[in-house]
Amino acid sequence: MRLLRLAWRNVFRHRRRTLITFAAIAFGLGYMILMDSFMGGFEVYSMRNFVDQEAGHLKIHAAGYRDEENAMPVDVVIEQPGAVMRRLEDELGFGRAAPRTWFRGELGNGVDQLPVVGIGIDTATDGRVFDYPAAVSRGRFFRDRLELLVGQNLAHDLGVDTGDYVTVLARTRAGSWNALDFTVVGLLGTADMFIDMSAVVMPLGTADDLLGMDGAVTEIAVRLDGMAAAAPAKKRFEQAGFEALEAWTWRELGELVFQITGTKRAAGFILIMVVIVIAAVGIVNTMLMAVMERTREIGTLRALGFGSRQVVTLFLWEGGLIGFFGSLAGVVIGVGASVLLDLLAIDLTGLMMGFEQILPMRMILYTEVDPLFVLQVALLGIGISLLATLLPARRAARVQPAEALRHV
Amino acid sequence: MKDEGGRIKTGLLLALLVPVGAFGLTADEIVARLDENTVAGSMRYEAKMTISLGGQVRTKEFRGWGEGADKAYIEFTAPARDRDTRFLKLGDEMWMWLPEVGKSTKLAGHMLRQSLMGSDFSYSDAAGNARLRDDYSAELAGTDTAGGKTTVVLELTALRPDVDYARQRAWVDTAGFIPRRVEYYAASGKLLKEMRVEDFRRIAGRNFPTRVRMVNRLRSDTWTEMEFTEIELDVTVPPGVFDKSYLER
Repeated sequence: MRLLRLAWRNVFRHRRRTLITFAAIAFGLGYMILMDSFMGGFEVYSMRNFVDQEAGHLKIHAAGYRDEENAMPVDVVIEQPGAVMRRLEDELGFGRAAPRTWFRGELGNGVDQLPVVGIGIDTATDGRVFDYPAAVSRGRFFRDRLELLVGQNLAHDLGVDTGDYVTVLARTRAGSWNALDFTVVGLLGTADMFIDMSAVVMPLGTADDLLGMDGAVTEIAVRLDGMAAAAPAKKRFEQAGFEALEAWTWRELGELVFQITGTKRAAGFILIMVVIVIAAVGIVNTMLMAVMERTREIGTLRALGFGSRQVVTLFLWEGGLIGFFGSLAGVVIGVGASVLLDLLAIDLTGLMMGFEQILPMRMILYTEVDPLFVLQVALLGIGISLLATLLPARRAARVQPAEALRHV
Repeated sequence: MKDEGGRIKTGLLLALLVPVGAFGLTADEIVARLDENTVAGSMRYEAKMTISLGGQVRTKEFRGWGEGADKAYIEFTAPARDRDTRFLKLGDEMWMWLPEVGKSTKLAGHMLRQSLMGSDFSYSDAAGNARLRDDYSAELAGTDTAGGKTTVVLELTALRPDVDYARQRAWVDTAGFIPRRVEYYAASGKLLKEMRVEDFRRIAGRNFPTRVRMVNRLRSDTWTEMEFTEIELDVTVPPGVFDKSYLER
């Protein structure tokens, strides 16, 4: 206890050095926590967007629909979506379900033509899973058969706006070309870049006509109670024995999107390692300096009868104290900054221009603090401080009293 | 059954009453003559494709082999950027070989719908060689002039829902049975593309279109002209041309 008191006093006696080490730890840890919350926030945000705007929690497809990646075939279909939806509700309790038809096509304004993804949505049921009326960023939601919603970035690329006439060209289920003229009534800003950059949305019945679907749809999207419910729901669906149908969870559907955030996470981990090394080097450095500077002081302590073990303990206490308070400050800084940034919700989409193809997301800076990570980081900060002190402390302990007292 | 018989009789009667083409030919006969001219059993060719997009004109050259409606092989020779880009069509399947990739990729359904090397021809337009009469029923719809020639207008309706275009309207020059102009319509009735035959050559007893211009009517300021600079019809295709190994050689 006496040593602790001495250490405490020492910490305050060498104010500048303490401050430097304390700041190194605090800012290093704060930065780590902020980075992690930022990545966590991005992940949660992008997953939520993906679920809310594109995937739902679960998608039911005809078996084989996803065999050819991104092909979006309109001839691998759910034949009686109404009956399937009734069964989903009665047998599995999947009441919030909506039939949709996705297809690939071309959008033309009479001058240019761009490849697009068409989505036919059933206005009566789509709101159970998605909320596209709320995503209309300009104009209004469709009320009529031949009215179209266009992703806002796509509209910008093609140079169309609300009120313009456009043509959607696609292959029918049987394989013939078909085209329909639409009026653009609204632009979609869903925050899901895939939708905003490449989708046109029309009433399901119109899509049915355009593609000659005969009542069939390409998918039934299901909303469940939370993201975690998807995997067990899929299992239950499979056990229920729906013939020639298969279910895909949002995580499976978004594999590509989340793979990218996964790599980002790995890159973030490397960054964290760098921060740790820098912090450790800083601590070792200041502690070594302390030992050098305080050689005479250590000599005096030894001369007063301090054992080398006690000297080591003293230095460890000092390092530990700085580490503890540094970590504490780091946690306050990191969590504080994260929460503040989350509240500010800064839109970074402008900074991301040019990367939309790689990362099809609207970038709003949300953060998600991971308490476990914060605890780990705090312990790590204290641990590193102790470890980094060990070497200089050992060195201090080896000092010969007589030699040390002669030290300038 | 009685009803059915009645309908057939009425149909026959109508067929007799409807005035046939200027040269006394029925729509089916004209289609048959068109097919004789434009659909070869096999062919070898060298061709030039001129693509105009928004005032910019690019030229691409390629050569190829074709056999029936199911087999086609195309190999680009110019410009340098596209040299050795190869396509192989076997039935409903199509593969593409890009020299920079070094292996062939199968073109999935949605890719087949895209345009061939940025032109106004889709892959299936370019590699297709099906007989009209296999895909369409024909009706006479009067006479008109097209390309400065007197033509018979044919109204072609797809026999099945899987035919590329639900309806075509063809202006046929009955002097040489050349389709001077063809309009391609969607099932919705929307005009999608328009083709004009600008030149033809007498080859192996056929009047074969050798310069064809395709205009995408959903866009403005874009057309593609395909010209056969060298062509042989009803040739023997060397063995192996329609093999994937030849594509990947």
